[in-house]
Amino acid sequence: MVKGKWLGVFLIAAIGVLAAVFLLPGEEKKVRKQISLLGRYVSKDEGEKILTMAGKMKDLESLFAESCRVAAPPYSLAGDFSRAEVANLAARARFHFTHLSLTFHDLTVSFPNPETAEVVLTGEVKGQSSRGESVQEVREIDCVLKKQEGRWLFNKWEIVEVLKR
Amino acid sequence: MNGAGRAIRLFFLPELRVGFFIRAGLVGLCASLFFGYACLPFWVQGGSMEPAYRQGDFHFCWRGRYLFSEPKRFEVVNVRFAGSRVMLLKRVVALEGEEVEFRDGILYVNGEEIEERYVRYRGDWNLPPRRVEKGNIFVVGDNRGVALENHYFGQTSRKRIIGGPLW
Repeated sequence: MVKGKWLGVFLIAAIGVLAAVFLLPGEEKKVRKQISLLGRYVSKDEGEKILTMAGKMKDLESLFAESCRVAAPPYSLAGDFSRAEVANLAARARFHFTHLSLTFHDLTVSFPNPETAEVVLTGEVKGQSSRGESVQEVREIDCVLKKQEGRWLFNKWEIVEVLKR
Repeated sequence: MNGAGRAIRLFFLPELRVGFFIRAGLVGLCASLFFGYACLPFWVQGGSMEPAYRQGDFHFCWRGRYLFSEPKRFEVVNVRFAGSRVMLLKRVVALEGEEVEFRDGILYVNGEEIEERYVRYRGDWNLPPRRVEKGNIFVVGDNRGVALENHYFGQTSRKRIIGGPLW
C-alpha cells in the first residue's frame, strides 16, 4: 500500500515536470513566437482591407525595439530604423503584392547572454506581385532580439548574402 | 495452406507480436535517419535550372557526394541556407581562384569561352569579370532566359554545398 502511494506521487511529479517543460513557455519558445508573429503580420491575404493592414502594421511595430539595425544588401538597404520606419518599410513592400506569405524555416536560436537572443533562419516569401507575376524569394537571415521588460524585441535584422555576385 | 502461401500471407498481414513492432520501429528509425540526414528528398520550385530540372520535379540530395571530394565544374549542387529544409539547386561554373564573366550570354572562365551544352534558353547576360574568392565556388542556374537581375547566382562558400542531386 505504501509502495503504491509513493509510485502515485512519483508519477504525478513526473507528469508535472513534463508538463512544465512542454507547456510553460521557455525563452526559446518566446523568441520563436515573436518570429512566427512577424511572419503573420507581414503576410497579406488577397483583398486585405486597409483597416486590417493598419492593425497589422501597428502589431508589427510592437515586435521591434526602439531602434533596429537593418541590413539588406540585395535591396540596397542599410541603417538604423525606428519601429515606425520598419513598419513603414514593410507596408511599402506589401503594397507591391496582391497577396504574400512570409514563412521561416530552420531556426537556430542561441543566447550569448540572458538578455540577448541570436537567431539564424531561412525566410521564404511567396506571393503574387500587383503586376500579376509570381514571386518566390528565399534568404538567410541573421537577427538579434533583446529582452526588454520581459519581451523579446527585434534589434537587428540582416540578410546574409548566400550567393554573392 | 502450404508454406509459400503462409509466407506471403504473413508478409502482407503480419502477426502483431512484439517482434513485429520492434522490426517496424527499426525500419522507421533507419528510414528517418537516412532520409532526414543522408539522402534528403526535395521538390524543385521555380525554373532557374530548366530544362535539366523542371518545376515540380522530385529528387533526392545525396549528402555524401562531397564528403571526400570537391565539386567540379558543370556539376549540379545543393546550396544550403540556414539549414537544409530550403536549398538552392545550381550548377558549378567556376572554382576558387578562377575569373568568371559573361559576355552576351556566353560564359568565360579565365578569359576562355566555355561551352555549356546544358543551356537551352540563352539570354544576353553581361557580367564584368570577377575572381572567385578562396574557399568559394561560383554557381549559376541553367536557365539564362531569365533576366540577369532576376536570376539568383554568384559565388558561395564551399561549406554551403551540402550535396548534389542523385540524378
